[in-house]
Amino acid sequence: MTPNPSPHHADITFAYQPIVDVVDRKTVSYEALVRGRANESAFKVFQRVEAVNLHSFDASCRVAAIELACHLGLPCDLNLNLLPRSLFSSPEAILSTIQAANLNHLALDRITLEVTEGEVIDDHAHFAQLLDEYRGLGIKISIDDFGAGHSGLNLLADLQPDQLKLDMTLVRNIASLGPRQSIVRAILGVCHDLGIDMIAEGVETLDEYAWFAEHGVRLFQGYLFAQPGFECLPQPSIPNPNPLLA
Amino acid sequence: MSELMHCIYASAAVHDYTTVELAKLLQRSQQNNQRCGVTGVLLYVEGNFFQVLEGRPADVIHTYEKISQDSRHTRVTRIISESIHRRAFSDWSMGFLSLSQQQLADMLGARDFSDRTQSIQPIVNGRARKLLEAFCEGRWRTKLPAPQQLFKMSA
Ligand SMILES: Cc1cc2nc3c(=O)[nH]c(=O)nc-3n(C[C@H](O)[C@H](O)[C@H](O)COP(=O)(O)O)c2cc1C
Repeated sequence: MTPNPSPHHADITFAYQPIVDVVDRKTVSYEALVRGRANESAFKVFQRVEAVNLHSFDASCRVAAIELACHLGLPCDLNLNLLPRSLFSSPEAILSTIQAANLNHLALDRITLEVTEGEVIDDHAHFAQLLDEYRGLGIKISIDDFGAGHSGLNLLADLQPDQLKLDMTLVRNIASLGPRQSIVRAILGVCHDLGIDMIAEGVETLDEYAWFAEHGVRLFQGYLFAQPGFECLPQPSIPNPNPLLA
Repeated sequence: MSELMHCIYASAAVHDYTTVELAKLLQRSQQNNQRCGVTGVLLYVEGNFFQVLEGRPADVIHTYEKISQDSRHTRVTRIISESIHRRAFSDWSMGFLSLSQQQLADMLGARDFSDRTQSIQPIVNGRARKLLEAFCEGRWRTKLPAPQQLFKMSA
């Protein structure tokens, strides 16, 4: 049974994908991924949204994602997506998220807001200042698809998120591709220096997993661990990262 | 406006400090910090300082400005300055650790930071702790090389 949807989000629901800590061998968070009622993809769902409604839709997604996750007994953190421009469109964008968290007894320091690197606004300093206010409330900030946008490491000069999710194009086949390894090592160095957690996202093979594990990455998300669970919080499987070394 | 922030920096001592010099510096710091509600931790490892200052923004910024102009250290490098939800060192007007390379190695030998030393036990998970770990692992050491090392490098 799902909670009563408000008219705003009557035809959407969520799939949840775990983010795992392979050292502690546990799920540290679930990312909420929007879906249609019949499990249609996020892309299809967003196609149905008119441009003028985009930001209010984005905000209502977070509210609905919190409601369902808490209803399912969320035992850890929750990663929610945020369209960066929402922050400028109205304060409602975040106030409704905070209110939903309070109503569902989800402490704000269990929420991570994910912003896609490619969507970050050009005025990095202004953007960082807005996010810093949420940081003061305990909300964590994550940069999603890092390495796919045009701002790259430059962004970190003004904005130091709590978390950085590496873009899948950098993850794919990393174990055998020197240039990707070199870029990721550089990003890892910055993360280490600035106290940012790196999440290897879209990890699909043992080779990819082993490469990151050997380089000290402990947070993972991807099919290798668990597919997104439609209206449920799936348990991940955590394989031994070093089958060759064992 | 947020109510709490932290500022984290690293610097290099201009010479090797004696215990007495460090004790003096610390005593004055703790008195000042107590007065304005600033808390945090100061590490001294082989000529390198690393400090976390936390409190109300005006107090943290004022304290950092004073510190960054202090001639007893140089290469003052601000690493992070941001809002925080709660303090990581609420009981310490300025906790202090002076560690040798061996003590550091022992500390890092333990799997989890919180196991390594009693005095770092109360640190909550978060940026301050991660940066403290990074410093202990050798990041952000800005110490000037000794003259003979400089000479060797140019020879
Ligand atoms: C490495 C280092 C850390 C310091 N930490 C502090 C501190 O936490 N609080 C403080 O008030 N002063 C600190 N100081 C001292 C300040 O630079 C400055 O000398 C002092 O605040 C002046 O105090 P007064 O205004 O009472 O004379 C530190 C100095 C150094 C070199």
